[in-house]
Amino acid sequence: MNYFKLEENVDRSELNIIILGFFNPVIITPFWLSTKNLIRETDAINAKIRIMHNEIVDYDLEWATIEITQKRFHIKCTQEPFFEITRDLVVGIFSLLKETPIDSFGFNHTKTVSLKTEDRYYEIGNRLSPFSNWSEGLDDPRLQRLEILDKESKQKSHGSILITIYSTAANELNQAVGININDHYPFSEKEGIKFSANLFIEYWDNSLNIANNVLSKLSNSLQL
Amino acid sequence: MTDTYFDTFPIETVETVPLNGKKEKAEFILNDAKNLICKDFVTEPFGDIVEEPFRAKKEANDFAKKLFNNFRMPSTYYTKTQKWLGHVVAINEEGFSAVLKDLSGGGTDEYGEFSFKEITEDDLDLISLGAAFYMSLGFISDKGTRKKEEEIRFQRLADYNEDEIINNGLDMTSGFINYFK
Amino acid sequence: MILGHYDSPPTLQEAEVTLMGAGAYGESIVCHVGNNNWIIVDSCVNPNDSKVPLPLDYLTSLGVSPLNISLIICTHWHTDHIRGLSKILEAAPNAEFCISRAHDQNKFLSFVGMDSSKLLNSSTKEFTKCLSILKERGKLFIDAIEDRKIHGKGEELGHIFCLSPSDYTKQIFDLEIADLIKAFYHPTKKIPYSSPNSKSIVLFAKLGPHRAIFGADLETVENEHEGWLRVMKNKITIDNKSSLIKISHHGSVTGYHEDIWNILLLDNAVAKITPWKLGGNYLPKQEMIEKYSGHTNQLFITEVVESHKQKARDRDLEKLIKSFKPNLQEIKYKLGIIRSRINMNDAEAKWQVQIIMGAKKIGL
Repeated sequence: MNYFKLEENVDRSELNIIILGFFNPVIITPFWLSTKNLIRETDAINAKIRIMHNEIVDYDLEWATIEITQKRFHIKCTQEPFFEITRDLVVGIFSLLKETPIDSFGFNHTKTVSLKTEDRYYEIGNRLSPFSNWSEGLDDPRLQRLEILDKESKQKSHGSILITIYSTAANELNQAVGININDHYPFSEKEGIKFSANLFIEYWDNSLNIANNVLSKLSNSLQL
Repeated sequence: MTDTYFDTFPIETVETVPLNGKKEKAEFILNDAKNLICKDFVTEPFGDIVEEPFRAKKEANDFAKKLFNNFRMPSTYYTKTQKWLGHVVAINEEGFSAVLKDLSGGGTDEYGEFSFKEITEDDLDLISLGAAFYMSLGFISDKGTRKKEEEIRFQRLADYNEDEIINNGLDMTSGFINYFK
Repeated sequence: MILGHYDSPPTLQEAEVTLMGAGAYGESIVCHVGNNNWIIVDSCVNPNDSKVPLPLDYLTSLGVSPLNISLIICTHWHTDHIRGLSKILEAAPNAEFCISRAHDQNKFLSFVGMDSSKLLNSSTKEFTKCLSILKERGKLFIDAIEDRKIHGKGEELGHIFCLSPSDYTKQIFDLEIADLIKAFYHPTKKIPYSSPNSKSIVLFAKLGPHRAIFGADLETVENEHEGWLRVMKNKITIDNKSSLIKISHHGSVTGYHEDIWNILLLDNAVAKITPWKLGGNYLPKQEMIEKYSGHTNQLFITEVVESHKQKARDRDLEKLIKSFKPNLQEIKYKLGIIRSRINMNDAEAKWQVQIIMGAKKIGL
């Protein structure tokens, strides 16, 4: 049966990797990354530093944005060719800082899906959250944003998946929706973990599968 | 609904927020889980000018959610990409050849020849037999301008100590030693 | 796997030696040694659908259960040589597992562990998975060494022996392992598969009155203590000339020696080759095909090497690749199967050869 496939109409993708733990932000500077051979020297030279502070660092490489506080490491990449390079950078950083205590990490895959027609754009909201439920009280219901939590997902060893679907109209991207898949891995105190590159890569691989599955299964269910 | 899931959601503590055509910078320093101190101010569409530090985690979370809601669109992004992971299989005077694994579509591998001239100077030292690199070809939108782009980058991971790696390796497989006939 | 009218299994007294070639995606020998006992040498996969390794798929198509796999032989640790082997082993709880390891077990295991722990560029993951499965089962691995019998008891019709590696080769292997560790310990490096290979396991099959040699990737080297020069001097295991050979190393010059044909093989022995191509390099070369054709008129090849073009993709991407990287070639997947069966109760019987899918007889 021919229906609209979300996964085949992804206009752009974004990756956010977030790690919660205890960090010393001021160590992980572009210069440090370059001396450890984790990025090119030219990447470090061309980095745009916004904040360099004991409690927070925030800078842009040409292909990623890094923001680190004492409790949170966040790297964002909006250029798909650099997703694996971003992942490798995280693996490289925490393989060197292997004593860093980690509480949780999350992979966020954000896909902007172009729905191509206005009808489909409005209809996706209706399929996700039927407007008939709202027609008694509201005259012109429109879905702006939806969040669904898969609390103990069977698609992974542990942790949850949070899917957020939202309209991108506010950003002048009409007839498109953003779908963020937050693949979250908490670690209990007992596990008290140090960064394990093996685990990280294993979770990364699975995370990509989860993100792809979410889109294709949602397409299947919505049948737009 | 619970907010514990929110921890690895991609909020940004430092954000440039487009407001009514102007850009106002909101700077935050996250001191602890409960306080969000706003250094500058933001106005519409978030309602009141925020000058007071937030006390409740929920408020902080809600505020940050609103920031993410605005979902600042990146100025540089790829609309269509083909990616490969290559491994160098031979090197000669002018360049190298490699077997490339299709990271986008999977399936069969590919073979390509590369000149050293195609490789960024910073990466030349990384070329060796077996070295891994990423190659991508795609259509990029860069601040509104669309163009075709090629990228070749050699893989970088932490420099390990050889002995450490060997010992880790032996830890992994030493249990097998009793199983040889 | 759709075998059409080739989907019936051999009889209990029929030996079968089936060579499967998947081009760059590996090769494998599936061998029936009688009484529904099966042996698998190495493995290969379809890169477009690697869920079921091809040898297992083949057996399933014949209606043979993996429970009847008695022995799996891994002639080389490199993943490119044994794609899917761990899945075969997983499905075959009764199988023994034979490998060739270096003399220095600790060094060998360090090497394997070091390479397997590379997250993204390992060449030994498949091999390590196999070791893990065996360890979980509490089974010992069989170490392949010259003249060791690795399958067959007493009155059984089929027996399998190793003709290599020699003791000398295993000692050299220790040195090679040390070099490999030094050159490739870094996690960004993948060990390229290097062939030909004097450490590969050459097998000698005694199938009733008939004999067969599986040449793996063995080469002819100057040193008479290893390679084919060593094998040709074997007086312990080799008791008769063979009527079938899987030619070593894709029919290359280094995989050849005239005396293999004079000393080890009967006239017009069935000879099978798996070709290889990468970029502008390919094996077997035409002059070698002519050489082999001079020795036998039963020369078979698993598939014909074609010139490779660009991989088919979305039209925009195809155009883009053509403009930036016009020399990029797909490493095509094509499967060819050369099956041979012979009655082990009949000394006068001849091999019945069937060519399936992409396989061809040379000189036809």
